[in-house]
Amino acid sequence: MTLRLDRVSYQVETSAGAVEVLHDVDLELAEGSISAIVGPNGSGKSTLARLASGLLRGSSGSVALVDGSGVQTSRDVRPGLDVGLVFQNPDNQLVATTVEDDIAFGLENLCLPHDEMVQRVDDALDLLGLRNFCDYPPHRLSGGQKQKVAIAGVLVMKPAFLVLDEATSLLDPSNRRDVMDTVLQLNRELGIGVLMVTHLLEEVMVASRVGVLADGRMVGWDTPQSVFSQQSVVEQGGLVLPLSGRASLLMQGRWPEFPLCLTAEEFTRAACQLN
Amino acid sequence: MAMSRSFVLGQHYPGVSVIHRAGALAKLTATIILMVAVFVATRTPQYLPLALVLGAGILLSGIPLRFFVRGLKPIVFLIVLTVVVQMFFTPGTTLWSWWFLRITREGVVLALFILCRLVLLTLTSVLLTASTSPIELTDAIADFLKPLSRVGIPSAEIALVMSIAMRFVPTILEETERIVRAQVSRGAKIGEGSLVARMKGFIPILIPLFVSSFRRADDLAVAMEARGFRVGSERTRYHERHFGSIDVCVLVASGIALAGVMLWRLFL
Ligand SMILES: Nc1ncnc2c1ncn2[C@@H]1O[C@H](COP(=O)(O)OP(=O)(O)OP(=O)(O)O)[C@@H](O)[C@H]1O
Ligand SMILES: [Mg+2]
Repeated sequence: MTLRLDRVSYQVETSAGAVEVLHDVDLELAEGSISAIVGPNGSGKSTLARLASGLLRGSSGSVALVDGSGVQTSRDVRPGLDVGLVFQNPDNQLVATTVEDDIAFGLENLCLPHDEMVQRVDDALDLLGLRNFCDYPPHRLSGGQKQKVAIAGVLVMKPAFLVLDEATSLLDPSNRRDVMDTVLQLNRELGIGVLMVTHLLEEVMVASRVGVLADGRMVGWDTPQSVFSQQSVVEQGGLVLPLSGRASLLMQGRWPEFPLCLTAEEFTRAACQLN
Repeated sequence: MAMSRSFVLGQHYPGVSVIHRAGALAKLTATIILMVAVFVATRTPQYLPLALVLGAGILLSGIPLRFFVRGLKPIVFLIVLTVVVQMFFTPGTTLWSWWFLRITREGVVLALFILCRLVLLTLTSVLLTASTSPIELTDAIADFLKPLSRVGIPSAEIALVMSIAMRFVPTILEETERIVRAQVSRGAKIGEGSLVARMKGFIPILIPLFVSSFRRADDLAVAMEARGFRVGSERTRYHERHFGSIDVCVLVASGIALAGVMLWRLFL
């Protein structure tokens, strides 16, 4: 299954008239891939995340799942079932009074038979390492644990894609690491496609594709390497290159053929090859 | 959160006793039956069957008696007030009098009766809430209200709203504490001075609290929708309800208590 957004625009009515939050955005998420969306505040990232997960409907364009043979399904993307959304504040997305009940919330909405619910909740508890906390109330969990519960809560619905809207931005570094590792593990083991809205470089770097949003337009959609090497995209997206990237640009002043390196390892390797 | 800890009424005391294992719906029904029995009685001795059943329940629950005593604390004032009023102001044969105070025999009898009534009511509800987790209780209340959904009362939604409220009480308490600390560190004077000054002191707490609660509500609505929730659509329950032999026992015991009270009232 591929998730395809085709020339999607989204307008909101404000007191000052209609404002176009997103304009003709194209996006294609391959099955089991990891992609990232970056962009300045107010560029429309969260709106895009909600459109992609079927919570909002675009004013024009289409959001659809395309199966292996290239046939576009005619129905709308179903929130939870096709695309699971996890967002920023871990305190505001847990519904129930215990971890276990919260994970089951989506399943209750699906009207699944009881045995199946128990099975799925059980699997999710093990997969995310939440077994020991299953009867904890949410307020006794750390931020990272809460986000894992939120992820578990969408995961049990078995979506093909997981959209994370700055899901780690309120966490401290170790919790952030933990949540990211979990997401990568889910991607590896379950083949679930991931779309991360983020402003953290280390998260961008694990993506195979990065989209750059600026003022509601997708100004770049490419590998992290080539996105960061396009000066205009970097500027429009308000991106800050990693330290090794900035150092590479300085090196290019002297040695024009010096590659753009985004990690310290790459930079060292390239520097060693200079003569 | 000292505030919530000192308040036993409505607090869950986890355990594995038969009373804990009994179904919430059965316990809720039994509680209502016992409360009816409390109000059916007209004289103190009639409470005997009820007290026996309730006492058995309390003992079987394995919850320490201290917990129940603490549960009575919030209503001590109410008890003292009604007992005093009844004792001194019920007309009848004088037992003891001094100056304008006069205790009557009827007053003492009535005061004792009301004392029993209040204590029994409180203990019954403490036993219910202590032995039943909040989530089970809300589910049971939803089941109880279910017949009402036929006349348009959204019983399932009411239960959901109750459980969401329970989920957010600790979060909002924490948030309040955080805001209070932040405002105090900026020099706000909270809980000091005259009544008006104190009320004014609450404004810098309430406004941020409201703002953040609205944002929370907004986020939560999206999160629920993202997990396939639609208002008014059918849902199943993760917690399965089964009606077992313990439930039958609980209901029969409460039925016996009610019948006992009624028979006593009619024939003795
Ligand atoms: N329902 C709405 N009504 C009015 N304006 C809206 C609405 N939804 C989005 N917008 C506007 O659209 C723009 C993009 O919003 P969005 O939340 O998608 O940005 P974002 O990239 O996620 O920003 P941030 O980095 O702060 O999370 C903002 O300027 C916002 O004010
Ligand atoms: Mg956003």
